[in-house]
Amino acid sequence: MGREGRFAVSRAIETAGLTKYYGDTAGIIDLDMAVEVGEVFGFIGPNGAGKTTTIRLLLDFLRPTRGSGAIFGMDIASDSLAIRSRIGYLPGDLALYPSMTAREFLLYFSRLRGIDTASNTARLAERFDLDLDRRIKEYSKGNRQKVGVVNAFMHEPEMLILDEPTSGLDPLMQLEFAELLREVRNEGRTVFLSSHYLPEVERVADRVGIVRQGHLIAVDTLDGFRSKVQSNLLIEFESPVDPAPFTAIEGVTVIDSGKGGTLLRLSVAGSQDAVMRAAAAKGVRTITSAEADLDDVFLSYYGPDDEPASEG
Amino acid sequence: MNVAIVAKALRDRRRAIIGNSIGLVALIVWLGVLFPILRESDAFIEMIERFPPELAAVFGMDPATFLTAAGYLSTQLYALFAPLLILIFVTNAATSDVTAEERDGLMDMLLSVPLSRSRVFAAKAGGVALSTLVLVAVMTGALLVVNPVFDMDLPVVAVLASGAGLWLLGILFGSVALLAGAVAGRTTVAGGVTGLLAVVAWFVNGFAGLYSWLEGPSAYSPFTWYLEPNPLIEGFTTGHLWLLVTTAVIAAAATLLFARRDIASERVALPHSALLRIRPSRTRSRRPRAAWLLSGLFRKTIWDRRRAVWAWGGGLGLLTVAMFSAWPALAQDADALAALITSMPREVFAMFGMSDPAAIVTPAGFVSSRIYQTIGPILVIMFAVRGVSMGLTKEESTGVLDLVLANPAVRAKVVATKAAGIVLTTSLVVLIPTIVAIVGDIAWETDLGAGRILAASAGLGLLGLFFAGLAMVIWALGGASFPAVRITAVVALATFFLNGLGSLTDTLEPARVISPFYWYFGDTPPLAKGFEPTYFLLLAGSLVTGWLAITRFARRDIAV
Repeated sequence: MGREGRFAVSRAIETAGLTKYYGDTAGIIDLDMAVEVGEVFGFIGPNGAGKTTTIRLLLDFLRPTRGSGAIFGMDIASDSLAIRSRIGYLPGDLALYPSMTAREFLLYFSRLRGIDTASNTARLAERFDLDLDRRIKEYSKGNRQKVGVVNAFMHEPEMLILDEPTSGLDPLMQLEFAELLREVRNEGRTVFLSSHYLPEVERVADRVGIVRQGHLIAVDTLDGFRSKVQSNLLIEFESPVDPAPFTAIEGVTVIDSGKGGTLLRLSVAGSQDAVMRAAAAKGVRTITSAEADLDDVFLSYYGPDDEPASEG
Repeated sequence: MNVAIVAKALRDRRRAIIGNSIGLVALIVWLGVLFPILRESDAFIEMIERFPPELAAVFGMDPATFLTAAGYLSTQLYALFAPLLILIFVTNAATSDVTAEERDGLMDMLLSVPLSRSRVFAAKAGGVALSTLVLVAVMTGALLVVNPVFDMDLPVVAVLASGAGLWLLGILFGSVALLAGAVAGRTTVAGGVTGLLAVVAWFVNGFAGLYSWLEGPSAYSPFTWYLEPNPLIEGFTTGHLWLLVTTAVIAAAATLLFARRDIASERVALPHSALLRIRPSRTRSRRPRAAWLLSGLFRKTIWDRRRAVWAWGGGLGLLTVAMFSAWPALAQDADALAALITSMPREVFAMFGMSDPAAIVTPAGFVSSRIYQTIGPILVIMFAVRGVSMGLTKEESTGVLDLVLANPAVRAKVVATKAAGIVLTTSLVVLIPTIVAIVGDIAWETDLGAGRILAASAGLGLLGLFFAGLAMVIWALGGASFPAVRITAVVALATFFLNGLGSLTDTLEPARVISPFYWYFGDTPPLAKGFEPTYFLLLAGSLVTGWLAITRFARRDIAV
C-alpha cells in the first residue's frame, strides 16, 4: 500500500480520515486519532456511536470506505498480520466455542498463535478465579468474559484492544481488571479501551476520546475534562452590581441576574478563584455553589437525544 | 494448512462422521447380501431387460450393466444415496465451520491471531475436505471388504476411482457452499444455493435421457462427470479431472472473495427483530399486550421458516412432477412389470416401507412409493421436528426463550403458539406437493381423484406432526440439554423399519401396530385408500403429546 511512511512508528495507533459506511449507514466518519505508546486510551460513546466499527477497522475485519490507519506505524490493511502478532483482542460481542472447555479453548488459540502460554494462562485464571476445566456453555456470562480476558492477555501482547472489557464482571473482578490494566501500562504496554460505561474508563484511562454518531468530538486527559467541569454559582450581593466585570473573567458566563441586580447566577468552568475575588470586592451576602461532576461533562457531549445506556 | 484448525474441524465433525459411516457401511453390507439373490433371480433379470431405459436413467440405472456388480452398485449406492448423504454432510460442514462461525462472531476471535484470512479459510476448507475424505474412505474400505465376500469381482482400482469420484463430487459442492458463504456471509444462503445447484445438477444429469433438451446442458453437470462413464467399470476418467479442476477454481474464488470483504459486516440483528417490528396499530392497542405478543410470536415462527417451506415443499413438488411424468413410460410395461416384481425378494421393498410390491405398478402405488411412503415422510418428519428444534429446544438453550418468557404472556400459551406455527408450516410443506399431485393427476390422467390425494396428504401431515409432538414432549419432560430431537429421529427410524420389515416375519408382525407408519400406510399405498380411521390415531397422538408437552413445560425450570 505504501502508506506506512505517513505514520510515525512511535505512535501506538494513528488514523487519518478513517471512515466506514455500511451502505448508507455511517459507522465512523473521518476519524483522526492518535494513541501514544504506553498509555491507556479510553474510547467512549453511547451505543452505536462507532466504537466497535473503529476497533474492527483497526483489526482489518472491516475495510475502510476511505482513509487509513496504522498501529505501531504499520498499515492496518497491508500489515495486519504483523499487527495482529503484537496485539491482544477482546471483542465486545464475545463468542467462544460452547462445547470446548476453557482450557481447550485457550490452548487452541495459543496453538494458532504458535506460542506456549500455559503458565500465563494458569496465572491469569487463578487471578480471576476462573475454573478452566468446565465446558464454556456451562459458564455464566461473567465467567465467559473471564475466558475472553485471559485469551486477550495470555500471550503478553504489546497492545491490548478491548471492547467493553468489564461487561459481565462483578465489581471485585472489575477492580482486579483495572489493576491488571495499570500493571500493563506500567510495563510500557498500550491499552485501547472502548466503553460506554464511564467508571470503567475513569478508573484507568490516561486520555479519553469521546465518539458520538460516528464522529470523534473530543479528546483530552481526564484532568483536562475535569477542568471543564462546570459549576453553577448563585451569589447574593449586599447591593445591586454590574455583571460586566464577571463576564470578562475567562470561563465565566452570566446565566441571569435578578432581585434588582443583587442576585447573579453564573456558570464557571474550572477554577472559581477569580470569581470569588471579584465578588468579595463588591460585598457578598451569600454564595451557593452547585458542582457538576465528570459524568455530566461526558453526558453533555453525548447530547440530549443520545442517552447512554447504563449497562450493556 | 494450519494443523490446529484442521484437527478441530475433524473433532467437531466426529459424531457426524461416525453416524454417517455406520449408515453407509450397513447399506453396503445389505446391498452385498442382496446382490447374489438378485443376480440369480430369473424374474428380476427379465424385469431389468424390459425396464424402460428413459426411466432407468432417472434412477441412474443402466439396464445393460445392472446385473453386474458395477451396474448394481452404481444404481443402488453411487447414483443417489451416497451422493445425497455426502452432499448433506459436506454442506453442513462447510456452512457450520465457516459461515456460521462468522455469523456467531467466532471468526473475529480466529482472525485476531496473526494468521492471514486466506490461510484460516484454506485450513477451514481443508478440514471440510479431510472430514469428507474420512467418511468416503470408510465407505470405500467397507466396499473393498464386501467385494470378495459376495463375489462382486470389482477391480480394486474401480472401487477406489468411484470413491475418489464421490469425494470430488462432495468437495465440489462443499466449495460451492464456501463460495456462496463467502459472497453472502449467511448460512441460509450458503446452504440454499448449494442444495439448489445440487438438485439442478442431479436433475439435468438424470432427466437428460427423458428430455432431449437436457442433453446439451447435462455435459456440464458435475453428476455427469461423476457418473458417466461409470467409474466402477472404467476406473479413473476425465470426469475426475473436471471435478477436480472445477473444485479448485471455485475454492480459489471463495478464498479470494473471503480475503477481500468485510467480516460479519451485517449489523447484528436481535433474535426477535420481527417481533420488535410489530407496533400495535390504533385498533390493536386496545387489546391486551399478551395477545399481540403471541400473534407476533406466531407470525415470527412462520416468517423464520418461510424459505424452508418453499425449499422443502418445492422439493417435494418437484419430485411429484418427476413421479407423474415418469408414470406413462412405466405404465406401458405395467403387466409384465407386475408379474416380475411379485417374484422379486420382498425384503427389498419392505426395506423401503412397501409391504405390497405389486402395488408399485399402479399409479397410486407408484406415486405413493416416493411421495407418501419414503422420501415424503422422511422430509415432512424432518421438517416438522426441525420446527421443534429451532423454535423450542434451540431457543431455550441459547437463552432466547428467556427473553420471550420475560414478557407478560402465559408460558403454556407461548409454547402452544409455537406449536401452532409448526402445524401451519408443516401443512404448507405438504400442501405444495398436494396441489402438484392434484394437477398432475388431471394432466397425466391417472384417475387418482382429488379426494384420495387430499386424504393421503392429510395422513402425511399428521405423521409429521406426530413426530413433532413426540419431540416436543421429550423436550418438555427432559429439559434443555436432553437430546430430544435425536431420540425422536431414532424412534422414527426404528418404527419405520418395524413397519416395513414386520410384514416379513411372523414374530415382528404383531409389533407393527405400535408403529405410526403402520397407522399411516400399513400394507396399502396411501393414495389407494381414503381417510383411514387409523389416521385418527396419528391425530390423537399429536394432540396428546402436544398437550402433554405444553402442560409439562409450563411447570418445569427453564434452561437448566
